[in-house]
Amino acid sequence: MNSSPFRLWEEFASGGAGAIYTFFGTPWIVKGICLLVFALIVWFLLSAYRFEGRGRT
Amino acid sequence: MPKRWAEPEADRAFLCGVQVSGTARGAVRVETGGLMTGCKSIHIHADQEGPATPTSVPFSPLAKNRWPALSCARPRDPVPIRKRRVFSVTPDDIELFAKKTIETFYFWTGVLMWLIHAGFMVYEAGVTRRKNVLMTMMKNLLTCAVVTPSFFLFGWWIYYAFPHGILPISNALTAAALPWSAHMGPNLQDNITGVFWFAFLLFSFTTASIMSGAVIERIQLGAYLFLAMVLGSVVWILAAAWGWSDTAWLYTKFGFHDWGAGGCVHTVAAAFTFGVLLNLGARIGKYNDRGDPQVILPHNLPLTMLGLMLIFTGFYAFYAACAVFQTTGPWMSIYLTPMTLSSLAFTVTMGFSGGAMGAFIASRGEPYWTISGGLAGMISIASGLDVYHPGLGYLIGFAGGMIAVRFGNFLERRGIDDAVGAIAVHGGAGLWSMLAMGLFASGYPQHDLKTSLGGQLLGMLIMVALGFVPGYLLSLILKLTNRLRVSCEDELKGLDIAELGIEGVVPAGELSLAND
Repeated sequence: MNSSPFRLWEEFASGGAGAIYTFFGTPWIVKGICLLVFALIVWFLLSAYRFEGRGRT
Repeated sequence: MPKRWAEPEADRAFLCGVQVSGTARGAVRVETGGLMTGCKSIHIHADQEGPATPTSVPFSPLAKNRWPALSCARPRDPVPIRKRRVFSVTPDDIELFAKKTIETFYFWTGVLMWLIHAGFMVYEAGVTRRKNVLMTMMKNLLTCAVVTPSFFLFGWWIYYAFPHGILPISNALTAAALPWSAHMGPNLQDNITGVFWFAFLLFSFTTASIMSGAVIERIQLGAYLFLAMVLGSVVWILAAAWGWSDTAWLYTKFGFHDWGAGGCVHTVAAAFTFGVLLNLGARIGKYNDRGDPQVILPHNLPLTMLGLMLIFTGFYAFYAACAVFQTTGPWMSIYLTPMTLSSLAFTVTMGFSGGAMGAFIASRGEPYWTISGGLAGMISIASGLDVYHPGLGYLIGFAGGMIAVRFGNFLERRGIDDAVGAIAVHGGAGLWSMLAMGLFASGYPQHDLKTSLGGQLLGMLIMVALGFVPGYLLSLILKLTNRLRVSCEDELKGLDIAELGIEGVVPAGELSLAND
């Protein structure tokens, strides 16, 4: 998946563009990633409740 | 002591890399080209009101007065700048300071990386059974001891000599890497080679130590140290020469990108270990008569968890040492592509978090796998952490934590007794690291090429083969000559008593009686 905000080496190497991270050029994907991170945190918290008390059973 | 940086009339003066700024009756800025571009001249700008003409002064270290002709063509300010000189610093001083800054950075990353080995030592000591604790710790200690001189003798040279494949090249860099060259010792003209060598040596320790945990409780000490030396001073550094420098053929021909050595350290070490385990076999009691795996409980799980926390801490230094520190321009990857040190702060930590959470869910809250998942997460982001968005780093780490648990259970069911899950954590996450780079970070320009999935897949194949083949063949030779595994009697007795003649850990009650 092409996620680079740069096409040319000169653009990348100049450092003038600032942000170099993946999908910087497509903000909706970055927002989707953040949403997915949030969903995983919720899954983790629910799992933490679910795995509690296994020693008693 | 002469005052080096500022004359009394300066309001402030500071040195930052290669730039010195100060204020005296107006702003005066002194800039030099710095270490990377060479210190050729000094440029003076006066930033007061009115037109100012920058003046370039040729630098001559032999000049009697090193500021002989500093003047600023300012019609409203006839005072020669020589009389209101603010700095006595010379470009030589600045260049030396820049060199010492680089030297200091790499020196301390190397020192902090020792935490990884303190971590490996207590991690494995906690995992092993009580009867093998001391021998396990001895093995970790001697790993560092045996890899150091061998890496000095030929490991460092291998890195420079094999960038194009299996045929060595010869040039000024390879000559400088020979142990008898002027650069491989204290040298007032070169204070960088030693700290680079030191950082790479600590990478070598890490690579060799990845194998150490998997083979505990049944390998002969001599066999282990021989294999550790080959892995730490030959195999991984050859992989680094092929895929972890700006002249490596995997990079120059295929755009392979493995920023934090997920391939040449973790995958190579895991593949080598896999080859050794095939010949070494499982511990007595690990599988029952039907071949079902049995649980061999760690004797001290808290110690194991402390060990992994030390490893996490040391890994920040490991990754920092992977970055190229230069005094002008941005930080660089080992491929000389731009990056920031902040990317480590973001992505390594997010990767750890994702890995621990993913492993917690996949193992249903099992403590050992949860903390191992944190390490798997930190490894999963290795190949592309210079460009990953932190959220993406978290997701990749999360998947890496889950992969490590599933892969570890898979190997156990197939009869591979990896006592610490090293193949799952370092191999599973290392392979995932290179793959994730191709899946999620393709298209980044790398000089003439771009990062790509194809380049990453080729790199994965090479790293696995390069690790597995020597590990399998050398351990097979040791097995055939009866030099690989301890006897059944010694294994049952425990290696502390059998090989060292002393018991490493005595339970508190027994210790009290013994002292009486």
